[in-house]
Amino acid sequence: MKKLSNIILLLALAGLGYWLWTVFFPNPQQVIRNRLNKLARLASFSPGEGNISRISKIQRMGRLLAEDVQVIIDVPGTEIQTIKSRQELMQAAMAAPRFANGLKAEFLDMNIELGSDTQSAIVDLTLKAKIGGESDLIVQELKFTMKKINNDWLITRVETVKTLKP
Amino acid sequence: MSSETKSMGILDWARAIAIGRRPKRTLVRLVPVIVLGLITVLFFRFVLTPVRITGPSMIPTFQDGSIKFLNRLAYLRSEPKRGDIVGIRYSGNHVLLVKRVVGLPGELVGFQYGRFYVNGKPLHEPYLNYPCAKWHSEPKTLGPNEYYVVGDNRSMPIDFHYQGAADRRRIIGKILLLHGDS
Repeated sequence: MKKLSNIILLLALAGLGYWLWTVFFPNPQQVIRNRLNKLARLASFSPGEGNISRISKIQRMGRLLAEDVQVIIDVPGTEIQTIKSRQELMQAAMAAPRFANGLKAEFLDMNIELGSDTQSAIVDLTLKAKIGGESDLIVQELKFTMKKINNDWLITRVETVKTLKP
Repeated sequence: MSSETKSMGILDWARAIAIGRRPKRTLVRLVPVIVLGLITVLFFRFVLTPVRITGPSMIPTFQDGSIKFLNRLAYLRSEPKRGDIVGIRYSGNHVLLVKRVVGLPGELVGFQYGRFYVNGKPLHEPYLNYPCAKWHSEPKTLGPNEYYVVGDNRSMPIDFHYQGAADRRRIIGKILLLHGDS
């Protein structure tokens, strides 16, 4: 009985050790996943959100982006829109509450492909967003390019993916 | 000593609640329930996946908010056929596009005055209720692994309706048509 208890205790300790290892030394895929989930949380806003909270969220969002981040939006029915810097993207995010009564964004089905040098990654994911007051969901496949800059995984490029080719 | 007796009592009580007084009999009764639960979960995840239709793209065949089932084994041994309503994945399987296959690999396809043309001939589409005469697109030849898909609701301008060529790898199953569906 004591032997069994010792084995169980040993297994529990090993599990705890493994969990602590993944918390303190996460693999790049997990870091990227966490960063993108954080981006989706920070990009979301509720209708009554105050300016201070919004500014704080956008500043935290800025820390996930490279200074020369490029965003290319090419969806049917509109002209191609591009954003060419972190500053421009943060300004667009700041202005978003003027055009939408709340936004809840989440990233689903992330496929992360690490570069051979493990200093860059391409992430294919699905954005699912709900704009307050609108019944339809926004669903769009996106491709993120990320680079490890100063030991930090930053988003350098975001582009829409054509799931169906016109 | 008394605390040990008390803790043993609680343990016995918890054991009786969790596995009953006759553990073997409990196990024999529990195994079929667990196996059945597991089979059900696997069946609805990998064979017949429930899908909630969101949006008006497939009206009148499917109404917004209705629940359908996606047969994920439909194209294991055969390829999608014209007229099939299929599930097309984005980056994964959590969100799907549900559209009708109208063009097959290698065909020359396009819209002219609201009608879909395949190799220069108009396609007979009895499931359409509201075709929009303004739908027009340049003819294009589909690649060897491309299927042209479009929704049944074509009442809106073509730019507002998500349609086009889907790669075969993205088509993950066929929607089962139930009684009442067109």
